[in-house]
Amino acid sequence: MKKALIAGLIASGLSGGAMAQQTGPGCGVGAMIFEGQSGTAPHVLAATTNGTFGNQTFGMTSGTLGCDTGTTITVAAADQFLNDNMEKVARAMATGSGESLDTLASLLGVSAHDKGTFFTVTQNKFETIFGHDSATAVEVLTQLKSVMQQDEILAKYVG
Amino acid sequence: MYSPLQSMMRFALVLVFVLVVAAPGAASGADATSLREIVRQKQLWTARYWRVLGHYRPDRLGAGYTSEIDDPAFFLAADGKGNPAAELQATLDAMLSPLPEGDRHAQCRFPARYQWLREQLDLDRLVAARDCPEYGTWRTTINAGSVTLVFPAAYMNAPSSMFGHTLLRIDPADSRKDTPLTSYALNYAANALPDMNGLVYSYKGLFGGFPGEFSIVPYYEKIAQYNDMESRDVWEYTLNLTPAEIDRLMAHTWELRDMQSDYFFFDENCSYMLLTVLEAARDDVSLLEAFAVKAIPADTVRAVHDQGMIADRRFRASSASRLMSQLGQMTQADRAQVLRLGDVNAPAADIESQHTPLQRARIYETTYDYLRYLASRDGERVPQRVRRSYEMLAARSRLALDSEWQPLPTPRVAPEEGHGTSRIGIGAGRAFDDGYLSFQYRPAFHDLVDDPAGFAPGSQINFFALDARYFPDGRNLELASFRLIDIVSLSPRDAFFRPWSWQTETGVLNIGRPDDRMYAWNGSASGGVSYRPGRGITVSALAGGVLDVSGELERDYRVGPSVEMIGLLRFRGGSSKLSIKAVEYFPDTPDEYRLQYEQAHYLDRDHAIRFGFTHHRRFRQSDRDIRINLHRYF
Repeated sequence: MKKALIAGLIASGLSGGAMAQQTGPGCGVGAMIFEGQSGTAPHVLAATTNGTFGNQTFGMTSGTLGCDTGTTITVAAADQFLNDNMEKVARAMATGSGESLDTLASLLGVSAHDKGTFFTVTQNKFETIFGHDSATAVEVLTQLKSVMQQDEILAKYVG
Repeated sequence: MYSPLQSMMRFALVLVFVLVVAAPGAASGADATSLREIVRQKQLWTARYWRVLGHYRPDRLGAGYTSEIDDPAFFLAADGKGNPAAELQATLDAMLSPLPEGDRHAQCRFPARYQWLREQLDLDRLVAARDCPEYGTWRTTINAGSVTLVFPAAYMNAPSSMFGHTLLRIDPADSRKDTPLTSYALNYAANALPDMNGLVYSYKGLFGGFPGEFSIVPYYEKIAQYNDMESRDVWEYTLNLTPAEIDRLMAHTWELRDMQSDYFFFDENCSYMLLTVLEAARDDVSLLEAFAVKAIPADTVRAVHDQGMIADRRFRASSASRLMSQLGQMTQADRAQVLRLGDVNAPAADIESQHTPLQRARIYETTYDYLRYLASRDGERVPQRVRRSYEMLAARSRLALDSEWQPLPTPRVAPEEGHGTSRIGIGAGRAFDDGYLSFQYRPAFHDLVDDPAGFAPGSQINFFALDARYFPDGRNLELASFRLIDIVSLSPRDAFFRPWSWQTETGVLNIGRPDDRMYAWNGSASGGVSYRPGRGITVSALAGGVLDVSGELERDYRVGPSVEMIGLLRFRGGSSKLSIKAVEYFPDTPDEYRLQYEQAHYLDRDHAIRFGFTHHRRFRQSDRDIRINLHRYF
């Protein structure tokens, strides 16, 4: 059940107009942090027209992630969220709190009890997780998983 | 040879076969006929809820009803758009029909209609409920547990968003409800082409050239758009809908999923369409009555509030509001440090020696937020800025402490608590040494001197504002002005924020004397800057041009550059505005100067007293106008 719900979210996220711009080849998580023009321009246009774009969707066709990395679908949802919210997640990690980081933790299945640890660990390891100023969502997620794996408490959330 | 008994038994067998084997879906002709008869007897198509589901509204002329949905796919009867009775009969037939199979069946395409007919006519007796895989998957995927009305406040620099916008957020019933960013946003918007220019947009938006459509996207996408890109504060109103009401809301939303309707800026807009969905959810509320002519988003929120549908209200400040709040909590010296670090072409200063860890944490964070604000304003990936942004976060992450920001307070007055958006005024005045009675009417929306509580500060949007005066001595009724549209946006600049201020208006006004009228079609536009020298004070300087077209003028028109200074003061219980404007006209027309002062005292939310004084120098003559009006907002 839960998988289906998340699949729906991913599908609906993917079909948004802005996403089409950010999607890298083969996988829905190609965004680079501080993307600038290519990432924001469609939004700015959306802002001035308050409109929707071509492929914006109602029906949420599943299975359109196009991302065959062998990750579980739960992590895929976290991928998608991270991909679309990189700058906010980065800020929240560096400062140790924030709604977007809390959301990411939930999508990774981190329990309310362990979120404090998640915040502290990711703040300490910020420069490992976001290794450079052009990190992509895939890189960030790989690093995040390895950081979690090395932590006694968080290891259990990375399968 | 058959006995009568045998033939009766055979008939009964055939009947059983028809009922059992041909089912599901095939109601016997006799039963379907009787249902049609019941529909006719009860005149079920006149039921309020049927009109809600079909979006039927009374015709302006005649006693009929016509649907506001323009897409033929929304109707099962050929004349369904203008004939609620035919549409109901066609819907009933389609519900009972065995075909088509699967998701294309009427039960699956119109689940809200099906549910209602099922209750009204006891349909289960005749026809089994269909399996609708697509609809079923959609419902389980969203798993709606609660519904929130979302109101991004006004955004002056996009014509479509001047009044604000509304959308619905569908929060899942499961654990995801704690992370609303991943909830679903149900948005109704004009499906504009991205490369369309603003003027075409405004025209088509006003006169229905765009198809409006529902769409569903993750809520965080909407938050990124409104909170971050457009710097708009967002209000969230959780509705107190029951599970059955949410069920109806989702069912009707499904019916509208691919339907197109002409989008009208004033009435059939985002807010109006959401109200229709809410009416489908709770069948005993009447939300649309007040919005036949215009549906201003804040007013629709007010209507939902007045119907007692709001359980909880939350304020989600924009990124720019949060940045401003952080800057306000820092010392002058620390703000200067943010500006220095924000200059990405200069090397980053080492600030470790002169600042405490808390100060540094705040400076790094705020610099990052400032750089992100600049990036979203410019829409460019500037490598130096990217590097500095990253450095700020890296430096911040090395300080394991809380930056102890005071949370941004929720504004005292929410948008639905501001003054009513229509205004009527009566009063008296004196012009050209003659006394007059004044009558003013403005259907929408807000001017600079109206009570700003609940509105965007420094904004003025007047539509169709009428100003008429009656001079009892000369028994002379004068239309002083009728302004079609009149928009002003004054946004103060400071070291961090550099917005432009601008103004534009057009309409008909009397540029002559009350007794020697000279009506002109007037248009003007100007741009400039505003500053805030003190609390509650805004001063602006604007430069632009004015065009008047009138047969009374020597060359039928006059045109020229204009300059204007505006001072705006907010004080306890009121506001005042002083403006001085000069226009140099061509050809062969004398210059004009105008000094105007207005002062309002707010009696309560919906009443105000306004004083006004104008000194006018035009056609080489001076005249003065002094007036007092009582304004009522509704």
